[in-house]
Amino acid sequence: MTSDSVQADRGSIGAASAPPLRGLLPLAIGLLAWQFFGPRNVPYFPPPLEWLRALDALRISGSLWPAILTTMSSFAEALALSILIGSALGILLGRSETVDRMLGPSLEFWRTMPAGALVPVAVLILGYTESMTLFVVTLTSIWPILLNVRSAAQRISQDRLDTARVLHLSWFATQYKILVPSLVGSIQLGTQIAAPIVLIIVLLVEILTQGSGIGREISLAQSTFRSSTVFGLVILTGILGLGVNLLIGLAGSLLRNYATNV
Amino acid sequence: MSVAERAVGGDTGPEQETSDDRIAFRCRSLAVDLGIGDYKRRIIENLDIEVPRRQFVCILGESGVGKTTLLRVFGGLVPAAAGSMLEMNGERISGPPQGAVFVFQNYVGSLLPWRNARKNVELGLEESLPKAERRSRAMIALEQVGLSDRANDYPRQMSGGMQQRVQIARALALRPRLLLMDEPFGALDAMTRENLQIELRRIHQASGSTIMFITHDVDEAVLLADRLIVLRGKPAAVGLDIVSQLPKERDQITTKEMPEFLMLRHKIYEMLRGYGAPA
Amino acid sequence: MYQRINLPGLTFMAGLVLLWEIFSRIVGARLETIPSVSKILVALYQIAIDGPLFSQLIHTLLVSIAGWLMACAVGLTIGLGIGIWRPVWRYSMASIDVLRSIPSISLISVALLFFGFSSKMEMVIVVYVSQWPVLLATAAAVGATPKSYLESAKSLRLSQRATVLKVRIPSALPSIVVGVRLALTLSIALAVVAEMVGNPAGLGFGIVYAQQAIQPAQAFAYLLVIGLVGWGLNLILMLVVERFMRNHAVSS
Repeated sequence: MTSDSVQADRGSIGAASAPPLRGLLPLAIGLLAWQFFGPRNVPYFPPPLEWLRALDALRISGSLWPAILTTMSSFAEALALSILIGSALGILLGRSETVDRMLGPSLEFWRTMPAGALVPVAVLILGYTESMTLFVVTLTSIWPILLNVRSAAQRISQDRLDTARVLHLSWFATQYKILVPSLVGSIQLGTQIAAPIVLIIVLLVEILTQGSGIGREISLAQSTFRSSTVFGLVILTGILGLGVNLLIGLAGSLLRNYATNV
Repeated sequence: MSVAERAVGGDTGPEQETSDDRIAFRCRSLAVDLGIGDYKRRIIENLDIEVPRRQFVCILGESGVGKTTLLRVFGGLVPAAAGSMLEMNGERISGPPQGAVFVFQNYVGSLLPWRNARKNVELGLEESLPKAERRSRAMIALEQVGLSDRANDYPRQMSGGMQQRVQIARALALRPRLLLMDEPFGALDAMTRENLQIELRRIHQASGSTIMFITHDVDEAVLLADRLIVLRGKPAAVGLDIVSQLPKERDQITTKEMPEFLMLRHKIYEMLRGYGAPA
Repeated sequence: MYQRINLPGLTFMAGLVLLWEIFSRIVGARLETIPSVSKILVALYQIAIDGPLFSQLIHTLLVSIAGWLMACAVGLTIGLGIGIWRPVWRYSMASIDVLRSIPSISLISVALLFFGFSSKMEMVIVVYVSQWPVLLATAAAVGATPKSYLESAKSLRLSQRATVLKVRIPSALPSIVVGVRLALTLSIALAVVAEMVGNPAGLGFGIVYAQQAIQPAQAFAYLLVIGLVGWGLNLILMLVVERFMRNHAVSS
């Protein structure tokens, strides 16, 4: 009954509905208030428009786009690697209980390791190289994918596997037609969770090593007290983060179509 | 003497009577709309019902006619349309009225799974009674439904029939003047249902509450009711309103063979099938 | 949880440690940067007995746990507000989605600007970033309280306060716990990172110092301690949660 549910709904959220745009009001008001009523000439409180100007200055000086490119390419590489390794390990752990028990405690320990702590050690061993960045980011970001794939792999119904055997499917065909489509959903879900983490860790490594990319620019601006630049870059990373989330979400919907059509 | 009758020796009757103590519940020109904006439909039109104290009323009707909605309106969970008059013990109803309790069909959703049976029953008492009295009232209620030995068990440890009985105990613990029951036995197996029907009848006799009971099961309705109301039409109106002449004491075998039983049953089916004219 | 001792797991770990020891001794002569397990343990002993390990450990623990508790309090309160009243949700959720999408790391730079190199900076970052998972989990779970529970409460004429305390929160508890656990992981991680870039105190500072002084065994020792802190606190939280939520099964 519609009215009943409206009645009963009073005071509760529709669980999965997208938030209305008017929710942006507090943010918009906050930014506007900052712009027009914020303290002038206080060093660390530059009004929002200043941030954009600072970003533009950075673009003109030629540092902006290379930084974005560096960060995003690290991001893409690390994400791809995380998906591959995370899925592979997830399948391995999910399908073999022995391996799961064996590797379990060790992985448990690494899973809870705070990401940043790996960087100094990795720097000592691998130096300030791209492979170091890739190593650290991947090691810390595979977990959502691994865990999701692992539980999905554990739960692949025996019926499906029996179907493959009854139809005398080759090993390859089994992987392609049965295993992977069953797991695609969990891979996508894990990726959705892992993507923001990958971005954060990439930036983290860049900030800690002051190597290159957006992280380096932020760190540089902060240490020279160019606060507008800092704010501008922070907003930039926020936009990149949002963009990444949207893309992955989109990929997810596309994949869902594939998975159901196979 | 049944458990229910034994319990009457204590103070299980409803609370203080008000001035107009013949009529427990009354509605006049009751109309109910459902839906919003363009989808608004009038579900119930022009209902006039007066329910005297201690009466066991069963409301019947085809699926979707609006029985559940009507009961929810009585229970203050759904608002009536403008122009309706709705009163309980002389006071207008807006929101769940004092002294009325609802028993839902879906017992799984209404019992709190993190509380054991006793604590679930105590839920409605926690704001008004001190601990010791709460506990004793809850235990009495559980005894009335025959579950005093399961007081410390959790809903997931119980069968459907038991969970529904806990819900009923929760309602009874409040000593309600009006008990509103929405197909409470609908999801239970036949044997449990039959036992609970008789038990409910006994509880009703002993406690003096007024009961309004929805069901689509004609036999159940005729077995339990002092008065039968059949809803019909779109929007729904009272098709049949008849007081049962069956004796107070009822059981699953002899009552169902009485001519009065068969006559009531016949009339109700006629009304449901559309042969009789609306009252 | 670990009802029976996981023999294969422990054996595997022990095997790894052994392999490491052998590998680092063989290769170690050339690749000095991978110290053997024994060297790491020696370094650990040194920083613990002669060095600043304990004061650093206490610092990181204090900031992480205090920050985490504050984050939970803030996240729970705001999350409740959003979950209970639909208008609040409507006029704030989009902003919250935007705010939490900003990578926490970039905010460290902002915090450094405002608070400089201090424990205050560390605390602010920990609280700000860690409260998001709690806030979101609370808002979502409280908002999705099953209507049947709410109707029962309404029919029993429970007050608004009683409904929130006795129905909404218990119903949301499993999800809130997930958020709280995530918040703990974040608190520890951010405290360490903040110590690495900003606040010269705590385990984060210790490990960076070891790295810059080119002391690999010491760096690994710190890594071990940090890892144990993360693992240990998570374990304690999980045990506490299991103890208190034994009877809490909520049918989805």
